[in-house]
Amino acid sequence: MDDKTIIDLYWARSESAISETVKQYGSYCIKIATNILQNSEDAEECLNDALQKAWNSIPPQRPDNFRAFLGRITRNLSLNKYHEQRARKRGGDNIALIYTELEDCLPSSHNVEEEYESGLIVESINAFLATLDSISRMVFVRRYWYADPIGVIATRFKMSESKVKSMLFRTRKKLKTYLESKGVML
Amino acid sequence: MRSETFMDLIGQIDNRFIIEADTRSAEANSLRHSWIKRIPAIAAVAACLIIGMLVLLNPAQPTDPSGYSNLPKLAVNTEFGAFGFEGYLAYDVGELNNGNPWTENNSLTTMPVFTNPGKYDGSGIPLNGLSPEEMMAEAEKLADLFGLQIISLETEPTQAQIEQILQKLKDADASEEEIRQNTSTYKATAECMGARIEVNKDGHIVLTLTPETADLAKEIGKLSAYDSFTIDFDFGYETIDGIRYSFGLPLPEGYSFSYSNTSHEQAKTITQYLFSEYGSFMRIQKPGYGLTAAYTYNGVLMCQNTFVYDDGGSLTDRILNYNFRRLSFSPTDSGGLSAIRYDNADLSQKIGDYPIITAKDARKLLLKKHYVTSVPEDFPGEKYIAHVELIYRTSRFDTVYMPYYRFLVELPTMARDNGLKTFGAFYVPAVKGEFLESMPIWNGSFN
Repeated sequence: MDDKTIIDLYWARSESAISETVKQYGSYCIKIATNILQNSEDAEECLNDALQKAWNSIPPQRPDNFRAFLGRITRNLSLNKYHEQRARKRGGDNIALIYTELEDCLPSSHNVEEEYESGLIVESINAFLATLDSISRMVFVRRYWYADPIGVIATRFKMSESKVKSMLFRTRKKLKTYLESKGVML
Repeated sequence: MRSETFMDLIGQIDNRFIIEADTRSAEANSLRHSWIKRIPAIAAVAACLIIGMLVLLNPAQPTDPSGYSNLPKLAVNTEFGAFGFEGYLAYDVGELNNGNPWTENNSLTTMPVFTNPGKYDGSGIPLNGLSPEEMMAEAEKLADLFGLQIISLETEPTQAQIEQILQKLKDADASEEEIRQNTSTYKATAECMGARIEVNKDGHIVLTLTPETADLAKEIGKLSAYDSFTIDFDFGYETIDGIRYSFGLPLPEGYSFSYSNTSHEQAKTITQYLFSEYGSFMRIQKPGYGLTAAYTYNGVLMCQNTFVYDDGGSLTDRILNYNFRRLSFSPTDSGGLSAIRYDNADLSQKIGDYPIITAKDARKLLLKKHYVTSVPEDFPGEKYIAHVELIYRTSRFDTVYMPYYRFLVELPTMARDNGLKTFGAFYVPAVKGEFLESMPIWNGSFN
């Protein structure tokens, strides 16, 4: 079943919208949630929450890209849950590692006069990603959007782990320089 | 805190980057090499490369029905491995019913074709996959996931063994290919308290459980992030008349899962039970059951495994699920469960939706000997065609996952005195001929 038909089911308030969504995108969402939470039960819970959120959002929304729409919801819910768990000293350490890596990207906060609006920063990140070669861009997105472990990325792109790490390192440094050149502050 | 904010901002990047990273990979390079091997004309190579790249760049978009001419031509796999021929023994072909959702009365005009992301050499050894360090790291991660204490963790062969083999091969002036084949690390094994974890180079996980740890099988959902895994049950064995019989995981009273003489009804009952116990992680909409059984030469009905797939959705979805995503159960000969296996093929590299011929047209091609087979004799004639179904071939020799019509053909020269018939498998590509590099034709020997 294609995305348009599934979204039509949501608009018709047909419960089969949920089962069709699970069939098409269940494993996709579960993988994102598992990457972040490192726990299949929590990941399943996130999928259920994501489905509920999709049900409540459509209508009125009609997502242009249903896959990315669901992935984005799942990612946000999983990160929220991760933060709750971390407060309770539970959960995996993949995200903690990612946070450490992202320190490299953060522009220097010298002479900060005002913080950029998040929308403008996202625009800058999008513009930066567009400057990258496709492999570097996909590796970056797999790591920091999908939260894939380094080993999984290495397998996916047929590289050694060290190559993935060095590619990510270079991209983070470039991103930092790019954001600073645009005057972006966080 | 600022990293967390930044992570949230990355979460808002453009959809196109999210989709690109999910549907493309570095396989473009591998794909290019496989095409080069098969297409002699440089112009054709160039055309296919460009088309292939365009397809890869837009994998999520449905193929334009008027744009079939842009689809790259496909190579038909004529390799079947070296383990005899594909034939089934049964008194009647109806006994070979395998649960395939495809039926001859359908309105399918296209079927999707995918690149097989796994790369293997001529003997089926993976050329890509996990490094030794990655295999060991994965084994440690799994031990942690299941709360298992690792006693030892080693690769196979070990580094010391590799060095010894390397020296011997060099002394014997072995070729680079021989050295590669014999020194490649293919597995990491973690021996744990009451369990064993094996991580194979191609990513397949084997978790062997003993009576002390068997309950961990109920936590099968923890493995849902893996595309291919097996849970084995090591419950000891008994030897009768010199033959070893494994016990496997005991099943509740009333359920028996035996390797031999399990009827179709018994196989279905036990498969339904096992699926209810271990299958919820698959989130199946409507279970379909594959319950193939065949006979031994002596007339003993053998059930090597049964499987469950998602039989919900469109016919195309059901066919893909049947061929590519299965949860299988293997019996022992003493009525227990030997293993649970999950396979979920990576279909992320879709080449396109290809026009297909009907089963009727495939039958005409079969009669003209346009088929591939491992059967060591010629097609015996139309009257011996017993069954047809549409399947995907998914072996390591298939660089592309494409649909074929599989004809089961009675082989009169192999009829047995006890009334058992042999049905050989003959494959005709389902994709229309103009989209194939060449239509295979039987040439009097193995294709």
